[in-house]
Amino acid sequence: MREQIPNTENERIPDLLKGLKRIEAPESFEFGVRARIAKGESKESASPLSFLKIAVPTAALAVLAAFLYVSGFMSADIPTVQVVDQTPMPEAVVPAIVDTMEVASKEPDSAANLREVQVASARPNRVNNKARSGSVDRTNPSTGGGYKDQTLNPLTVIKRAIPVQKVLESAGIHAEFQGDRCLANSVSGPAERLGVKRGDVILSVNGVSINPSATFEEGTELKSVRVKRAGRNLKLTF
Amino acid sequence: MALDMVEFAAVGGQKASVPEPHSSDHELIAAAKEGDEDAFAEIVSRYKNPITNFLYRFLNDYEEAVDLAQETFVRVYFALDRYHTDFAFSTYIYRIATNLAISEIRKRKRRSLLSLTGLFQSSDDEAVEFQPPDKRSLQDANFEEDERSKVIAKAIETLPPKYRLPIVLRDVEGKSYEEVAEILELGLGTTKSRINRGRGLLKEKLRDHI
Repeated sequence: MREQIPNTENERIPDLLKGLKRIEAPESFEFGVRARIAKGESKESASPLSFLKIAVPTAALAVLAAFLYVSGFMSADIPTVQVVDQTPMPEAVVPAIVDTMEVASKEPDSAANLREVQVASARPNRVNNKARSGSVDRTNPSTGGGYKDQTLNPLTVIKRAIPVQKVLESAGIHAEFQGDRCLANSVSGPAERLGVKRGDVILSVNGVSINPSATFEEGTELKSVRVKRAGRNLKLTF
Repeated sequence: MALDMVEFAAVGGQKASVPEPHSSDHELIAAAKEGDEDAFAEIVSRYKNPITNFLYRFLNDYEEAVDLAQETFVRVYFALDRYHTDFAFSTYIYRIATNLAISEIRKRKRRSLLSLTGLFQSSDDEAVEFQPPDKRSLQDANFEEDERSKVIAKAIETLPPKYRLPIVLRDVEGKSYEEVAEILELGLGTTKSRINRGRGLLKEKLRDHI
């Protein structure tokens, strides 16, 4: 014992406590017990429910957050495209798809097999451009081509394709194609400050060679351009 | 060791209505397991006053004591199948009541903390729990206590629970040291030490009344 208290004095305490009036349960005690038992009510058994009080709203919030996250990718400006029915088909008849928008325009006949869904594609620009430039003609169904790697996943987001001129304009370069040459007609804003000049021939954008059919994903920022000026190639980086 | 009805009548100071006058606690529990509601009612009748008194002296709140005493019997009822006759039923039921009382003390601490911050009053349960205990005297004449008893009850309430529990079990309920040790799942030496220490603390608080 840390504190020395004479036991003889402490012995008075039990006498005091034993003299306390004994408290009795109320008359309705048994009724209360029976009622709780009848209801199956026990604080112990209620503890899992109290856990659910927290778990259920948390799960609901998580589901809501997940839904908002997914729906954020499927915003209203994403084009509605037609997707090949994913039931197994012989490879030869699976329509090749480079760009879902192209699919819709090039292959209207396949509409019977198509169902309309919102799709998305995380395909890099470079792939788009290569495919569009015709270096690999995998878009022709008659050749049996087709992008297996682009088997359409309805949850994948496709961004709108915009022409290269739009990308250039976003940086202040107003250009037009003369044949395969992209000529800067007027330069202003960031591009002017960077040193792009009227009359420059734009060779590549963000490291990707351009041609009249080149497109980029919507929202692409101009990071660098390579121009040809007076016989010299210049790379200008923003 | 099974404690029979006579022993509990002595401890609890109550006269039970006795459908099976000579049944031991274990016999009643065995019958209750078989679905004999009268046997369980007899258990309730035997222990309702001792348990209520014990909880009241520990918590110093009559309504809370009655609520927890009822809860004690509900838990006994739903755990009948898990009860083993290895030790006395009185030890078992006091242990349940003790655990409930300790939980209640912890809740009170949380409540006092929350009432200090005043930030959360979320669920209906919490709103109910925030109701301050009703300290008014009940209409029941049996419950009337004189001033001296109230001072003693207040002094017991201010003891730390680790001393309050063994003091109430030993000096109010009249349990033996061995029973107190079993109920609290403590060693005998620790139990005696806490009881003695608790008495010393009480003596300091009740110096004017001794």
